[in-house]
Formats: sequence, structure tokens, C-alpha cells
Amino acid sequence: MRRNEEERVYSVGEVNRMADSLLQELVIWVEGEISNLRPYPQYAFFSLSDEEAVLPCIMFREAMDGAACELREGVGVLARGRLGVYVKRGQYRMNVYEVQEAGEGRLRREFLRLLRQLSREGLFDERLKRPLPPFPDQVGLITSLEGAAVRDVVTNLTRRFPCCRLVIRGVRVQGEGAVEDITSAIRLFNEAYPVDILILARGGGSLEDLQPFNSEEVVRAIRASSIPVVTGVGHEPDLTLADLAADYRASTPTGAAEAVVPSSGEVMALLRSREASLSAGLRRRLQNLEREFHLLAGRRSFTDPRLILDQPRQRLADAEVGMVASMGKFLERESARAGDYAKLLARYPREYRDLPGRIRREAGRLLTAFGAWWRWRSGDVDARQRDLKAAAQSLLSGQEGRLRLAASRLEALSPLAVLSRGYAIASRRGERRPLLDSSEVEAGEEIDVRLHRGKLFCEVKGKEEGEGGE
Amino acid sequence: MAERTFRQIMERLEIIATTLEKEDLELEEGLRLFEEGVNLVREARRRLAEASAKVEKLLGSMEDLVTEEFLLEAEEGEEGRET
Repeated sequence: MRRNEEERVYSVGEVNRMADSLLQELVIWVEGEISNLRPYPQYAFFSLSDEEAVLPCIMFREAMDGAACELREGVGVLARGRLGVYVKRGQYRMNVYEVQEAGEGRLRREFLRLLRQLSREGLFDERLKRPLPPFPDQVGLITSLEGAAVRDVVTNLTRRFPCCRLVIRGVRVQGEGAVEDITSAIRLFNEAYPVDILILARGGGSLEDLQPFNSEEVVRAIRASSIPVVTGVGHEPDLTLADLAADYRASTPTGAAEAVVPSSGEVMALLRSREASLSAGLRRRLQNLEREFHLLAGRRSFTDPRLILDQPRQRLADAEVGMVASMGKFLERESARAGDYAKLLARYPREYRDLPGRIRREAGRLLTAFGAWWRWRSGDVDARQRDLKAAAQSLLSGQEGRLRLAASRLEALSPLAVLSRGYAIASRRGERRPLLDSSEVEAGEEIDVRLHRGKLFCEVKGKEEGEGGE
Repeated sequence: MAERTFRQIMERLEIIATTLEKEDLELEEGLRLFEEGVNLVREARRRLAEASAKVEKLLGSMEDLVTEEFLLEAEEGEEGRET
């Protein structure tokens, strides 16, 4: 085989360098598992492998120092680096600049980072947890319309508590669009379709599947919801961040349904106790009243009604005694002074000389009047009651008289009363309307005549027309 | 007047039970509350016995929401599929 003269012949080194420079264009992320790790002080050799192939790698000290995870045999990682060829050996390999744990490891790390960050912000604070309404009228459910979760919630909720309405918003619960679906469903219920409580549910899954429930967006949407949120995620023992943010966390969709509504049995029991407390409340009320009544009834004022008046009467009497006494004193003083005046007056005309005597007589009269008044005021209660009763009776009998009078006047107006004075009413046979004019009947016609007592059945023998029947 | 919801019935009952325990309640008022309470208990029992929960799905967007009856798809084996 002859070579073309124009074709250039390369050295081995040149070829390898050429391959190296072509490959160096590629700075990429690769996912694989670390194997065949050989660490040296300044660098480490290892391979990234998956089911299909093996990629030789080298990582230098400075890259390793800044790496997010340690290089360990068997660990799945995401590695970013530049491809190249080791010229001397013609060996193709990747110069790794950074590594991260891949898959579950990466998710778990991200989970812990968010957990720390959001806890620091206080989003998982126990004090933020709101109480769940005990008897929700409307329950909102955010979950996938397919699968076990929706069925578990629907079946358990409707079986337990028939007095409510369940409104389901179907969302994607994993993969692309799930975070967006879940957060907008929470907003939707809050802004456009207020329910009493929200359930966010999905069946169990891998950490990857649960990713939306560990997203910052969903956590914030739950905390921003003014409707309390209950989570029921899968059968996983692991908590999601959504669980931590929720007002109540159930471990399964069924658990969420049970947390949100009471069972009919529980409600029936509560109703029984409510009923009992109603009766107890009323009974206590009645017992209190009875006790109060007995206390009152036992008081002397009630056993002897006169005692009601006792206190005020006593006070009145005291005041009156005081008044009479001071009036007496006043009069005495005045008459004493009158005596003094008398000496003075002796020098004056006769009509004045008798003044002290007149004053004394006047004082005596006043004292007598006071005494009478006082005796009347402090007089026997029974006597005064008798007076009152008598007055009331006379008033009543006055009314009764008037009533009788009124009744007799009413009676006088009744047509029947007119009959009692000897008048009669005639009407055509079978009719009640009285006959007023003789022209209304013909001779030979039969008429009825009503008297004060009883009726006459008559035949008109003849008649006379005219004004007034007299 | 719209019919009371179950929750409103239970809330009213709670208020009545608490009020009945107060000392300063007039007897007339107490009797009235007792009667109202007993009627509410009766109504709640009736509803528990007769009601059946409504299940609906919420379709459409924020501006244009509709609800539609939601029926569980026929059981596909007792275990069902995981989502």
C-alpha cells in the first residue's frame, strides 16, 4: 500500500497532542461511581463507571481541597471536568475540577441544607402550627387524581364523616411541573375557593420522587396558606420538608383523612356528652334558683311580712320622737323667754300682758297635734292595711256599679230589649228582615211575629197603606 | 336563611353549653337555650345519620373555576398503584 506524497506523516507524540487538544474543548458533567481509587499527596487517580463503561480520571490536590464531597470508593458522584489525553501513554482521561454526590446523596445533602436554612428562618416553628377545625364543612385535597392516595383519602373521609364536602384539585405530584402545580393549587384554594382545611397527599416514593415535597417553594406556599394544611405523604418513614411546614403531619393519606375529620362515632359520643352537659347546666341553674329561693323564703321578712316595714318604720319613729322632743324644747324655751318678756311687757298695754299665757296654750295645742300625727304615722300596720283594703273595695264597688250601669245601657240598645217593653217584630215567613211597610206583604200571605217571649205564626187578613202604622 | 352547616351547629352547641354553666343566667334564658341545644343535638344526629359526603373535583383556573362530581375509578386490584 503506497502512501500519498501529499499526506503528512505525524509523530506519535503529535497524534496524541492533537487528540488532547480536540478533546480539551469538552468541559462536561458526568455521573458515575468512583472505583479503582488511588490517592497520592498531590493528586488522585480513579475511574468513573456505570453499567456500560469506565472513564479514567485524575483530580489534582487543589480541586480535591475545594470539593463538595470526599472521594470514596463506590460512591456515586457528579463530576465536572475537561477531557484530555495523557500524551506519554496515549491514555484518554478526564481532569476532574469538582465532584458532588449524585442521586440520593445529592438530594439528601440539598434536603439538609434547606432544612437548616428554613429552620433558621423559623418556617418549621411549632408556634406557627394552627389548630385544625374540629368539624370542617369543606375539605380541600391536593393530590394526583390517579393512584392510591386520592382513593385512600376519599374513602376514609367519606366513611368517617358524612357531613362535609371534599373538593379535590388534581396535580402532578412528582417530576416536572409538580412544584408549580402544588404551589398554585394551594394559592388557588386560598384565593378563589376557601375551604376549612387542606390536605396535601401523595403515595410513598423514593427521595427523588418526593423532591417537590422537599422544595423550598412548596414549604413557603404551605406557610403562606391562610387555610391550615395537613400533609399525608406516602409510607416513607422519612419526613419531607412539607411535613415539617404543615400545621399537622400525618404519615399516610389515610392518616391525613383521619386527622381532618372526626368519625361519626366520635361525633355521636360528643353529642351525647353535650346533651348531658345541657341537662346538667339547666339542672344546676334550677338548683341554684331553688337554693336562692329557700334562702329568701327563709328570711323573717317573708315569714312575717310586717317586718318588711319594720326597719323604715323604726327610723321614722326615731325621727319623729326627735322632732317632737325638739319641738317641745323649742316651745319650752320660747315660753321661758316669754316669761322674761312678760316682765318687760308688763309695762305695755293689757292685750300684750297675756302674751306668755297665749304662747303656752298655743304650745300645748301644737304638742297635742304632733302627738296625734305621730301616733298615726307609727300606727298599727294591720290597721292601715284594713284602711287600704276598705278603700280598694269602695273603689272596686264603684267600678262594679259603673260596669252594671254600662251593661244595662248596652242591653237597652239591643232590639230584644225593645221587645221586652211590649214591641213586636214582624217578618215574612222564613225571613229575618223585619217588615217596615204594609205594602211589602199581600193579604193572605203568612208572616211571623216575634214577641218578647216566643213567636206567632200569622196570616195577613187585610192591610192599610200609609205613613206610620199608628 | 341558609341552613346551618354541621360546623355551625357544633359551634353553637358549644356556646350554649358554656353559657348554661354561667351563674348569672336568667331562668327563662336558660330554658330557651336548653331547648335550642336539645334541638341542635337532634339535628346533628339526624344529619350524621342521613347525610352522605359530597366529593367533587375542582377544575379550571383561578378566574374560571368549576366543580364536577368526582367518582373513584373502579378498583384495580385491592392494592392499587402507587402514584
